[in-house]
Amino acid sequence: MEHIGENLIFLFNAEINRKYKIEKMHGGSIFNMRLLSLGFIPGEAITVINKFGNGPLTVSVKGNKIGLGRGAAARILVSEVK
Amino acid sequence: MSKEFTIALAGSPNSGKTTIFNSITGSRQHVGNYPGVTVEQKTGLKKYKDYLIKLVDLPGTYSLTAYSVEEVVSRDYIINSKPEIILNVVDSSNLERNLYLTTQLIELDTPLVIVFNMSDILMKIKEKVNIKLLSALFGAPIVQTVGNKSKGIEELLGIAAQVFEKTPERKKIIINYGEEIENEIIKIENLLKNNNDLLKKFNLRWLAIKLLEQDKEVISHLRDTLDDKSFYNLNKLFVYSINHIKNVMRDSPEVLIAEARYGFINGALREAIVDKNDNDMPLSDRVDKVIINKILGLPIFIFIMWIMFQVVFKLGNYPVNWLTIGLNKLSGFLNAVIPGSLLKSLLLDGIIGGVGGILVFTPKIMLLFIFITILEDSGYMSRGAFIMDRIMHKIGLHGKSFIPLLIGFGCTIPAYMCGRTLENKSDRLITMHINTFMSCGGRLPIYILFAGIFFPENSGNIIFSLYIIGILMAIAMAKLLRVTRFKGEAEPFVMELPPYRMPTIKGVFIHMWERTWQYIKKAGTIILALSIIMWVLFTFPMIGNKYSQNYNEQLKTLNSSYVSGSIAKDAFEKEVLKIEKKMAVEKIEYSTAGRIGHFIEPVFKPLGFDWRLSLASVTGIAGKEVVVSTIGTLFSLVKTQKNNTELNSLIAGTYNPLTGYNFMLFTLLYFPCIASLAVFKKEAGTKEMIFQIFFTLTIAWVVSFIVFQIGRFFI
Repeated sequence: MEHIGENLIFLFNAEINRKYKIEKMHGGSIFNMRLLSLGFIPGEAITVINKFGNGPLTVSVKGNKIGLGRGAAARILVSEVK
Repeated sequence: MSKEFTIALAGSPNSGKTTIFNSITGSRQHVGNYPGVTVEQKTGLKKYKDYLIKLVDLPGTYSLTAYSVEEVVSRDYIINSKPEIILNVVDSSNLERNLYLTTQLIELDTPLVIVFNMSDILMKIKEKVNIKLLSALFGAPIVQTVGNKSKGIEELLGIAAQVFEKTPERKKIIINYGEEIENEIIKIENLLKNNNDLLKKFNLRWLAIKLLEQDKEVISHLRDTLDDKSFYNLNKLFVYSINHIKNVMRDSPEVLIAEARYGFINGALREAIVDKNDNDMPLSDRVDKVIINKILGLPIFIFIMWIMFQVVFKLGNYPVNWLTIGLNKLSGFLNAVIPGSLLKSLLLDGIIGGVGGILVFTPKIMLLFIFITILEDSGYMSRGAFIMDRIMHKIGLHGKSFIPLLIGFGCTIPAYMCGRTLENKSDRLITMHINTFMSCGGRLPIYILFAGIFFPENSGNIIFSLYIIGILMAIAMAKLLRVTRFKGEAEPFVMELPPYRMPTIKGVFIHMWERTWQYIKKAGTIILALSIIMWVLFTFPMIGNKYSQNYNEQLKTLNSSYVSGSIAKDAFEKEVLKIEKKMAVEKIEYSTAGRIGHFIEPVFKPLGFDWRLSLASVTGIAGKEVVVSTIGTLFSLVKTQKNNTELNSLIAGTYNPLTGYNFMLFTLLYFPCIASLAVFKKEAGTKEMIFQIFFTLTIAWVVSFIVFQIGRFFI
């Protein structure tokens, strides 16, 4: 059984190569639409592939690789899948 | 009589849509604009059996929301122009995300043909794929293609023709959004049904879904077309519906709708595709481990840029030299054939000197465009944007700003247009304003000429330094603009990093040629006209015998002393040359151009420019390429028949390296050309365009002033 962690964290705090689940996106409706069309939907699995220093990170969602700026990563909340 | 129909090509970026378009139409393409916006519209014609097919390439989009101009343009085209068929190109190595657009195309209710492009990869990564079943589930025929090998194109056209003839009958697919949302859709549809105009133009279900998604374009369209009372009722209804859905489902309709679409896609894929059981890391990921590594990423990026400049400038020298030699031969030939007259001067000095002088640089421009196209098509460009985001963010810009800025190295006009990919207005305007400092291809001829003359040993490094100064300037000004005129945060960066792909030779060539052709056309038309105007300004009024001294008398005296043997041959020729040069200078100074140059000289004097460089700077407003032809004309008129000194040594004898460098700097920093200003106005409005003019002129003057005043002490 999958257990959903109690604490939501910001995507930029997520660790590389661990499995997370998208919980919430709060970037305003236009930004949300963009994320939705790139495959970011609540409940979807998400993995951080790489962090570029303190700045942008690459994530994998639905088998696509997406680059996210730190600001964008601050608008996505995830929880760890254990 | 052939039957005609239109196919619109839709697909996500990186789906290979353009490759398919090129495969079908070949070189029979036309590039225009969508009405009212500066989004590029490519169309092409194809004869297939007894059909004449018009193909329209819609911009690449992930979705059909109102997120970007491209998305709005795409769906407006489908709704208003009603193409007979939509060809949805899908990257089959990435079905789930690519089919998201398909679900939205289905809702627009236009006959659809789905193209599984790169199907060779699909067959490699999946155990079994049931195309027939997928086709039934999506209610549209599916054709498998391999775009870069032109595989499946014939079959594709055959199926398109069948769909046009309506065989077999189309099965309508409806994506179910769940009871709550479906109920609200029906309520909205019922309200809209009474309006005949809407009924004719739109699919009402689509309209209802868009309203639930709070699509701002659709809402404002309805506000404009409906009468106040109907819109009021409609508004009340869908706001109620949205709130109702939020209450019951505890999530907003747009998220739920997206979930349902992905659900639909997943269901279909699960039924029709058997996955392979291996978890090999894809090649792209392995490459990315290095390419966007946090330590190596930036050095690799800089290295790639450096290679680009080396190739363009070093390798590009050879063809440029060949063309120059050819042009010289042509001039020599015409010089010998045509009798001396004003017409000859117009042809040789005006037209060949002006237009030819610019066309010889075409190979370098071509190489630059080849590089940029390869970076785009291979997938590296978006990595570049990603790597740059952190840095861009520090200077108050968006990672995506990097792409228009990079294109600015080719030509500022498409760079301004590319600024549209930035959704945030402040980000876009800052990017546009600083794009001037990205040294465009039009400035290149100036650098090549001046760096070659004053710094023949390291012209490559000198030119590189100008590019770097431009970039530093852009950074400083971006910061300045962000804290003064455009306050606020940069838009968050979200961008797909598509799998790496080998660019096709055909694709690169077509793209490069399109861009190069624009450059040649500019040289051929605007610059031809300007060269003629310039020649007139340089030639009239003619000096006649109003020289300051009686040079002819002096020449006669010299001649007789040479004949009598009182002066040696060497000294004689030197003296004659001296006098002829003086005459030529006076001739130009007497002309209209010379007078203009002298008139504005005081403005440029503090920068170390004489009247000739001042004049060249002014003519540069017409296009930076014109600067070179102006200088060419200014100095080639000095050329006398006995003396074949090349332009280069004349310029080298007139200015010092500091002035040469400073002049390059000045041309780098002020706005690119009049055509770019026209585009700027179209993209950002008159106010911003005027700001751009004064902003860049001020900076160019101030920087050149400082460099010259400080530099003077060192030489």
